[in-house]
Amino acid sequence: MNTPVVNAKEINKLLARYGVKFGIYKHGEFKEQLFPFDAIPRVISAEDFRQMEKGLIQRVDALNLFLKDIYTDKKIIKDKIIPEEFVFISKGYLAQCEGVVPSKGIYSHISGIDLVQAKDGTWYILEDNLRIPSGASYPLIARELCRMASPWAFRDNDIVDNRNYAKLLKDTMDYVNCGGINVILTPGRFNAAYFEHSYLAEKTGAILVENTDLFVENNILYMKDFQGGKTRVGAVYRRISDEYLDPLTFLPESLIGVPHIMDAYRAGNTAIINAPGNGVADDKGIYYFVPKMIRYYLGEEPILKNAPTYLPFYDEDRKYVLDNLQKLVVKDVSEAGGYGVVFGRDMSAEELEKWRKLITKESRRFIAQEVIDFIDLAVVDNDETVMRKADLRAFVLSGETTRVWASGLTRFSRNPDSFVVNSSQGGGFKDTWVLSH
Amino acid sequence: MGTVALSKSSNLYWLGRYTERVFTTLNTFFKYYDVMIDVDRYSYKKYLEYICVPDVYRDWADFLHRYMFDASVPDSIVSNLDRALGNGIVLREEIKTPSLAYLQMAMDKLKKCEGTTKLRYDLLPVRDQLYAFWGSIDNNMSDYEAKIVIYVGKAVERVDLYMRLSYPYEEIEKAFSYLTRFLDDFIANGNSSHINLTAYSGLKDVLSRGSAWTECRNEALYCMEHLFEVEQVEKAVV
Repeated sequence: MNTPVVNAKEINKLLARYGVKFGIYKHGEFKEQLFPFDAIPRVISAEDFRQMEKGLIQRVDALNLFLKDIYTDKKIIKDKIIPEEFVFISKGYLAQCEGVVPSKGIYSHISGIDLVQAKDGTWYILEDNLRIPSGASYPLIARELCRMASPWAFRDNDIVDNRNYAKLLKDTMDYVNCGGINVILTPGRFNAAYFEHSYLAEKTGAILVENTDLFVENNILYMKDFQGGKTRVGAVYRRISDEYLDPLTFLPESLIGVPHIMDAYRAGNTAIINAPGNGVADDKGIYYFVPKMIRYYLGEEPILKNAPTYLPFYDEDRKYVLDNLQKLVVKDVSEAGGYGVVFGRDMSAEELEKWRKLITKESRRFIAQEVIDFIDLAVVDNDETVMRKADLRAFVLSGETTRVWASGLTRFSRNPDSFVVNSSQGGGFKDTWVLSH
Repeated sequence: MGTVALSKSSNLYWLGRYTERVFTTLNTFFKYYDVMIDVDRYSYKKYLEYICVPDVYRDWADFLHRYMFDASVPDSIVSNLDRALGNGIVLREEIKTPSLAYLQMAMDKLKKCEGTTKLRYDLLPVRDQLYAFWGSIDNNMSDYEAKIVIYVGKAVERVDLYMRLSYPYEEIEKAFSYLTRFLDDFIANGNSSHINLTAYSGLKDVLSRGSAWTECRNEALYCMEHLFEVEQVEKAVV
């Protein structure tokens, strides 16, 4: 880095000024807090990014083809590439989406792919997030504020400008829009990611709405406007989970959904971004099969590697997992946000035995992975530079073409002994620089 | 206002009301605070009575601290600013991030003033941030119809408080003419169904009486209170 980012204190002041926060519930009470920001950026070389970009486009294209296949022809199952039990018992598979092909055939419009870089420089995919991946707004606004507080770092380093995220997102929304306005559907003010919802609405020019602002009439989705009129909605970037989206299709007790929105979607009158039912493709169990999907749908070798993963469902893998549990990380496929992750090395002999029994009994519920010794990044903690674990969430947007945002959310653990970087568990974030040459 | 969701109209209105409430009560507080220094430490009781806020304070020192900083007191300045900020947060895409930042800074500044020995001096930047907020709204909001709703809220609150605090008639008249400008625009934009026109004309009538308006003070306050509650006011006025 030619000139480092300076004035970290001022950058954090600016983040507070602009309300860059996320919410958490502690003891049943909602609290908003600043997302801790570290001013030392993660730097990705132009060459590394080019390779990563190709790999991410390849992966997301294959995942989109998989979703289309699963909800229509199911060729990948018929051809025995993926066992059907991994698909149909996945919590993310939604029978209500059977046969529905969304606008322009795109299911995952915004994909958040989590990667880590091993000490030898290899990038590994940790997981795919194809439902409602969040976090792009933080590096987006952070870049703007870093440029304000530390301009020379951006003059002296050749960094790709990442402030085009809102344009990429708007292009995606416009491309799949079925006629009408774009809206961002938020569960409301007390959602953990409300800052992001409102900021992306501001930046894309979409209208931020709650469920009570929307209604469906004759399979067309409308927004109620102030004068009692209605405006047709052509694309909904929804920030609520599938199960709460439409009480008449999914959970009837949902108070944040829009009745009949699925009818408008099925009729092809509105796009839902991302499509309902995507959870089947980002299930931790399905992750194992993504390289096979790439070969199957695209006839290509995967460019980016999965972390070495074992499925206890298979006899051979189960044997390996049970024999090597003490050096593996075990993940519950139904959990997210850093929850349901346990490291064998942290377990007592008694706990290891307990887990062996559990894995044997519920072999479909878990995956096990080798612990990747990924690189630490420098972080300033109380005026001292320390090394911490960090991952990278890359954002891939699928519209007319599939594009990778030349940036991403680098999250780091603030705890020296932890690999868990999630903001909900106290992690912080950094700007991610992609060098232009 | 075809591009503003129905649920946001109430936030726009209350954003206007709460920011004005903080601004006007802060200014009035400054006047009473000055009196409290060396004339009458308990003059705040009169102030609370005027604005119809319960006197929950042990004494003048308790008032000075809790009226300003205690978020558990519903009518405190910090509570009202928090409501202004809360409405602003859900309107980020309408009012824009720079405008919202002024409310955030006003809140941060207010909280930092707790414990100071020069309260009035240290609170000046809070008032400055509110001025800047209004300038930013004027400058950054492109949807005029949405902007009018905020201004209506602001003007309603100002007239209401000026009347309650027995401001000089000239001030009230000026505030009311500010309100009518936006309210008439609001009506002209096809929103007459949101306003109780009977209450509106009743208010016009009372305030056209010059200083004698105070003879019908209660009627004026009632009309203000129900300016947007169509059914109730019609019944009450009839």
